[in-house]
This record gives sequence, structure tokens and C-alpha cells, in this order.
Amino acid sequence: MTGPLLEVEELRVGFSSDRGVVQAVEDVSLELDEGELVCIVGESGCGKSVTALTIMGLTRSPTTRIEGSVRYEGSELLDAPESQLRAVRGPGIAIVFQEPVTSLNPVQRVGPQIAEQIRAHTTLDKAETRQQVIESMRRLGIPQPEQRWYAYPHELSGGMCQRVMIAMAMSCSPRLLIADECTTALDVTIQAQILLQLRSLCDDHGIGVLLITHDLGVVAEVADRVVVLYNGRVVEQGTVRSIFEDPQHPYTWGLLGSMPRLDRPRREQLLTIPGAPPEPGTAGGGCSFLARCPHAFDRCLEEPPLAPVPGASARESARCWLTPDERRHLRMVGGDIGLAPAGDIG
Amino acid sequence: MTPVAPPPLLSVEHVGVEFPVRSSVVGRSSGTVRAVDDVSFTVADGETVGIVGESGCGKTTLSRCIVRLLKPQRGAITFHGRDITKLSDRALRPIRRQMQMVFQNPYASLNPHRRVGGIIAGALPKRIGSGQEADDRVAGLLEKVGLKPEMADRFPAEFSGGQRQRIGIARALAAEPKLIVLDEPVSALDVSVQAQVVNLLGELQEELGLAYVFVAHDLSVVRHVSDRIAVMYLGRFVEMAPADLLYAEPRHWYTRGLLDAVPTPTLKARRSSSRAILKGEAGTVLDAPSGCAFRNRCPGATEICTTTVPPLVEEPDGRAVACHHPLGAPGS
Amino acid sequence: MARYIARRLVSSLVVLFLVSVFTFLIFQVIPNGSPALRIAGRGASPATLAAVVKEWGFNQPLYVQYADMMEKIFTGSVVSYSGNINVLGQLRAGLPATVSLAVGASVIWLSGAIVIGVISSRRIGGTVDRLMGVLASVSISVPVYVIGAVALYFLAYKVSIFPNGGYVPISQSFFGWLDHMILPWLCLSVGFIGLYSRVLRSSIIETEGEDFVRTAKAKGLTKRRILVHHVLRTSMIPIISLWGLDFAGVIGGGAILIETLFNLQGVGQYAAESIGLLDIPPIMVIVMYGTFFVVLLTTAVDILHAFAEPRVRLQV
Repeated sequence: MTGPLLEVEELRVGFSSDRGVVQAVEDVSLELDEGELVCIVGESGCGKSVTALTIMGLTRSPTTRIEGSVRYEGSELLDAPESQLRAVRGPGIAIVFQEPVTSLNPVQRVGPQIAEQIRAHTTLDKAETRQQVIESMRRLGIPQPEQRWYAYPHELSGGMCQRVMIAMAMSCSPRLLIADECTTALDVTIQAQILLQLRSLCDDHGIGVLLITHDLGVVAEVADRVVVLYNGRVVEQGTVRSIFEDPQHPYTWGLLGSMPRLDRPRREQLLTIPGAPPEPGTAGGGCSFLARCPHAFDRCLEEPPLAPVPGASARESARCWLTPDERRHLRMVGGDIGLAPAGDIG
Repeated sequence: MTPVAPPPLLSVEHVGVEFPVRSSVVGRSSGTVRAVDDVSFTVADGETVGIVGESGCGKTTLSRCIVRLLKPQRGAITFHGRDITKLSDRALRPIRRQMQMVFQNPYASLNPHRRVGGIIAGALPKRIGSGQEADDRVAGLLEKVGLKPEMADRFPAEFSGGQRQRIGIARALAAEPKLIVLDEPVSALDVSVQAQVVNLLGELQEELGLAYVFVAHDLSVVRHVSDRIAVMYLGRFVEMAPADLLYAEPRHWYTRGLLDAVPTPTLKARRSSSRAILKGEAGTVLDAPSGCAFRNRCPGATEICTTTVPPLVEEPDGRAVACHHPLGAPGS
Repeated sequence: MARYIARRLVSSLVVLFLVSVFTFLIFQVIPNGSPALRIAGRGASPATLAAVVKEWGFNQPLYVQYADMMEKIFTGSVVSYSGNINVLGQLRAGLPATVSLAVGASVIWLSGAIVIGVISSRRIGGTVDRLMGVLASVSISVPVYVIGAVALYFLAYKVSIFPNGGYVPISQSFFGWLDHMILPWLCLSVGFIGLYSRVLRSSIIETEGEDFVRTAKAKGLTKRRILVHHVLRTSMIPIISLWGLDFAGVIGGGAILIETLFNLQGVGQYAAESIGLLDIPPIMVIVMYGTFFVVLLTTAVDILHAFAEPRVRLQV
């Protein structure tokens, strides 16, 4: 296949309500190849989950306005009929949500819930389907899958439910998996296990994974490329190495500096971003980070474009008026934000 | 003769909390489960003790015990030299002023129908009353936590999550406490706001000489703020050590597993082969295995671990570990 | 699960016992005057009165009286004194009409409510939805005897589409039975349809916002499958609980008005007539049997509910 697996171009999503339209996603573009793990990172209300749901066509409603383009294997999904979307959901794109327990039907046993998706997309009979479900549960490290088939979601732990969700998502061998904060509700040791599994999906099975998270630690562990979202817009994107070693946008600097880290001295002042993330859809004129940016100057009253980073590889861009030299300088003044030399990453 | 150390501000000795388990047909309790089991530690003036553990490990129950929102069935809690384990609510009232609590959910812990100024003033010591002096105090407290004094007239709903957590801290400070128990104070906040609150807590501690018990699941936050850290697993402390030592040389297998699992925002740790990922999950106290509760996930478990609960043994360097085969010990 | 059922049955038995004690107290102890006089009816001869006092043991201590009364009620040997007819026999005679009414009407009101509830929930706030909302309020607030009387006047008296009341046993003539039941069924159902369809509508709306419905969409299932297998299955739970109460209520005497209006000769009508004659024994028996039936059916529905909703088993 030529071209990327998924292309999102200038996506805009607005929800109309009694109080007018809330523009949850202002301008999001990204690409994802087979076998690649791309992270969308941002704080609450930045539009990362809405972007994920919109790719799957799950935000469609009479009160939603969606513009732009979402192409999966080259074919447009935004204006695709429901029947075409249905065929993509499952065998093409699958999704895993943040809350594993409530995302499963509480009154159905988990085995049949996975089987339902296989039955909807294949012509396998009952026994073959069951076989396949149990196989995909086993692959995800769910112990005793034959017995787990009969379990109700509330009888399983959060981590186990999330494995069931991933097993369900993987049951029709999708080419793209969207994971929406899928480890946020879990304990760190379980998170580590699941992240490892996501990574192996990319490396061993060539699946593209779009991982949505607020945790830069998670990004550093598993991502190939990173898209940083702020207030509904992409403010920076690049390879994981460039985001952590040569971040271009002041917001990314702030995020990196905000995280307490095990490899830094204790009680050291954390670098913070003043204020709080804006409510969705409250972007005024100019750069949307203007109000919280310590380096803003008069030009920032005009909205900067998402421009390629000079001298960097393709697919690396930032939305900032500062020149690369200024960025390098300011970043150092603003504090060393963990630009320790990276070990070998591969 | 060794010099006598000053008594700690808070001392928790062999505390245990049990909850009834219902299982019989008529709904009578058929037994109890130990949510907190034989936990001991001390907090000195101006010190921060971190308690870290995964969900269901009993850390929230323990923190409620310390401020006596819960009454432990076993052990003793001494605050400021006074045994508060069995005190009545009435007798506790003056003591509660000196030990405040800040909760995880800044949305649920503030009365939505009261103005912020009123919420904070309600926690001021009685001698201040409610006149001009109280207003000045409230204004001062709001400034101290980084809010504007004129915000006193607003309602909690008009604030963001981070600001509400600041209000919660201001309310705790109003009582002029010596100790604040913080239960997951930043986990509901966005990363950038979380850092502001962590910094604020550090500044306040320095300025006012507060002691903190900082309870959280996020090891990097806990390590950042704490002098000493206790690691909790299914109701028990499995390791307790000075923060840097715990991070540099964990002695308990679970501590090492936790440290390895914490995602750090650097590329150094990325998929390195030395990282051991803990298998399985903690489950609940209800289905904990015999002997050491961690043994079913522990790579170093042996025969003795199935029969005997390892005691928390103190070592000369000020740390303690509850393991039959601690890491870094000869022969392990 | 077995534990849940056992616990539920035990609590039902306690309720049944309390109900029997209350009924006993209401009819035997609390009212002034001699209970014998009330049982024997107005204008009974002193001989009858003496017989009643002896028969029911009104000279015995209270707990003996209670035991006697329970024994009489459950062995079916209560006799109405005004007509000197065995009450159980009368009940047996009236039961087919009452059961026909309750079963038929509940089939109509359940299916009607599901259809209307689902249609309303398809376009929230649309014209159809709002119209259904108004109709539901009207149907709930108009008393059933007004609907019944109006229907009888227009459909049986003005235009003779339906018979003017009466009951034909199904064993005698199926179509006669159907002909006589349709109007009572519809009249009884109207209010229930209004209520149930609204409850179902809001239950569907609530369920559609649940995470697991989003998951179902993400699985690429058809709209119909999502509605039937995921949304309705959960949304029906409150409806089924309501139905258990209402069905038992109708059988246990709740259809007094409809049965009397359409002269169905059912249990409800028997109760109404007994009240008119101040004939205490049948009323007592009907109240006891009625409440027993309500309690038993509610228990059954709760147990079914536990099967449909596994989380319930953890509670109680």
C-alpha cells in the first residue's frame, strides 16, 4: 500500500448546544503509518478524545459539526455512509476506551461480547467464533480464558476488563488501534504490562496504534511519533526523540518541566505553566497558548501556522512565532527541561 | 547513654483496621478483612512522609485513620504526645484543628452553596471570631495559596479544579495545623496544574514548618515531595526508607517492580531490557495469598514466603523492609 | 445466586407474615363493636350471631383467633354469611375473568409501551416525541372509569361494535371471550401505556449515553442490533419491575373499577359487591390472597431481575 494508513487533515469538530457552538477540535492534522505508534498528548479539554472518537465516526449526531478530512487507507470516512463505517469499525479501526469496566455491557458475559463483533464481521460459526475469542483472550494474557468467557465485567478487575476490551478490539485483526487513555484508570504495574502489549502489536503484527494520553511518561516509553494538542489545535508534532530532546513549542517545554521525575533531585521547583488549561472552544484571537505563555510577544496576537521545523525531518512541525534560534535560547533560560542525552532508542 | 530524641509529632503504632465481610444467607458478617494490618510509622515536625501503593492497598483507609475519621480496631495513634486512638468526637475537636486533611476530589470536598470566604473562615480558630480580623485572615490565606483576596465572594463552582484544590489547602491552613494529611491531592489535576500545587505545598511547608502525610499512587510525585516513603501492599507496609535511598536501592521486590513500572518522561528508560515488569495484579485483601501477600507476583519467592508473613525489620540505616529475601542482601 | 434467592424468599416470608397480622388486626381487633356482628352482616339473628362467635372463636385469646382465622382462610372454609356461600368457590368462579383481564391487558400495555417508547426515543424532542408526551400525560391523568364509561357509551351503546359488558369464558367461545375482553383490555391499558412508554423512553435515553453502547457502536454493529441487544436489554429492567407490581395489583383486586364497569364477574367485582353488602369474610379473603399474590409475584420479578442484571446479586 502506498500512503499512510490514516490521514487526518484540518479536522474541526463543534458541538452545538443551547449556549452556542463549542468548538472542541479547531485544527488537527496527523498521519499514521502501519506498524507505527503515534501518541496524541494534551491536557483535559484539548480535544484529544474528541479527535479519536471522530476518526471512528462516533461523534456523529445532528448537533455535531464536523469539517476537514479523515482518510483510512485512502478512503474518506467523514462523509461515508453508516454501512461503510460499520464495515471499517472492527476489522479496520478498533478502539479501546479509558474506563474498561463501564465500557463493557454490564448484563452480558464477556465472552459473548467479544464474539458479537466477530459474528458481525465474519461468517464463522458459533464454535469457530468461540475458539477465536478464547484464542485472542489467551494472547492478551488473560488467564483461564475458557472460564473467563462466562464472567460478567463486574466480576473482573479493571486491568482484566481492559484486557478484555483489547482482546475485543483485536478480535477482527484491525489494522489501526485507537487507545483512548486506555491505561489511565489502571495501576502502574498493570499499565506497564498493557503498554508492553500495545508496543508489541506494532512491532510484531504491524498494526498502527494511535495512543491518546495526558502522560508524557507513557509517551516516552512507547511512542514513535508524538502530536501535542492544546485547545483543539496541534501545537507541535515530531518524532519521540525530537519531542523529548529538542521540543519546539513553549507548551511542550511546560509540560515536560511540570512532571516530577524519578531521575531529578527531590523538592526541586517544578517548571510550571501559569493558569489552567482553557475550556474547550474558548480560543480567542491569536495564538491559543498566548495567555499562559511566558515568552509571548506582540506577533503572538496573530495565530501562528503549523510550520515545519527547519532542518528537521518531514512530519516535524510547530505552531509558534519564535525562531528556532530563539527557541533554543529560551528553552535553556527557562530551565533544563530534561534534555538529558538519550540512550539508544530503537 | 544516647541522647533522647524529641517525641515525634505523630506516631502510629501497630494500627489495624478491619471491615466486616458479609457472606452468609442472612447477611450477618461472617468474618472480617484487614484493610490495614499492623502499620507503624512516625512523622516528625516539618517532615513529609509519603505513602504509596496501588488501588485497594489500604492507603486511603490508613489516612482516614490518622485524622481519626475512622477508628482503628488495633494499635495506637499518638499525636503531639497524646493518645487519640479512642477519643470521642467531642474530645477530638481541638486536636483536629491541628491535623487537617485535604482530599482527592476538589469538586466534592467543598460545600457548593457556601462562598469560598465562608468556607475558609469556618475553619479559622474560634478566638478570631467573624469580624474584620477574620476577613483579613481569609484574604491572607487566599493570597498564600496563590488566589486573589477578592475571590472570597465567589462560589466553588466558579473555580477550576486546580483553584479548588488551592481553596481546600487554604481551608486546611486556616485552622493553623501542624500536620496535613493529603490524600491523592493532585491526581485529579492536569499535569501543568499538578506541578503548581506540588510547588505550592513545598513553599507552604518551608514557610510554616508543616508536616505532611502525602498519600498517592503516583510514585514520581510522592518521591518528589517526601523525606521518607512507605510502600504499601494489600494493607501492610512492605518497605519504608528515606526517599532517595528507596529510589536508588529498593530492598523489596514490589518496590522495585513499582519503580520499574513508573513511566518517566525521558528516553533513557525506554524499553531497556533491565526493566522487570511485574506480572499479575494485586487483587484485593479478600483474596490475598497465605504468608507474604506479594508472593504470588514475586520473582524471588520461596517456600517460607507461603507460610510466614515477613515482619517489617528495621535496619541500621533508617530503613525497614518486610521481606524474607530482600534485594541487595547477601545471598539473594 | 442461590444465596440471593434464599435471602429474597426469607424476606418475602417475613412480609407475608406481617401482612397477615395486619389484615387480622384491621378486621378483628381495631374496629369498635363486635367483629361477630360485622361478619354476620346487618340484621343477622341472635342465633346466627352466636354461631359466628363460636365458629370464629371470638371468645378465645387473640393469638388463637389469629391461628384460627389463618387456618380458615388457607383451607378455604370461609363462608360469606350474608349469602351463605363458600368464598373460595366464588373466587374460583371469578378468577378466569380477572386473569384474562390482567394477562391480556398487560400484553397490550407492554407491547404498546415498548413500541411507543422506542419511537419516542428515536428523535428526542421531535414532533412525534412531544405528541407522545402529551398523550401520555392525558392517559395517565384521566381516571380509568371515565375512559371505560366513555368507551362503553360510544363503542357499545351508540355504535354497537362491542358488547355492552359481560364475560364469556374462553372454554365456551374463544371469539365471544375475545369480543368481550377487547374493550376492558384497552381501557385498562391506556394509562399503563402512557406511564410505561415514558419510563422506557427516559431509560433508553439514559442507556444510550452509557459507555458500553459507545463500545457497541465501535464494534461495527448495526443500529438495530445495538438497540435490541444492548440498549433495550438494559432499558427494559425498570419496565419489568413496574410490570410485576402492576400485574399483581390487577389480579389482586386492582381491577375493581374496570370489572364492575364492564360487568366481568371477576374477583374485583366480587370484592366491590361484598363491600356494598358489608360482607366482611370475602373482603378479608380477597385482601389476604391479593396481598399474598402481590408479594409472591414481586419476589419472582426480583429474582428474574437478578438473572437479567448480575450486579444485583452482589447487593442486598
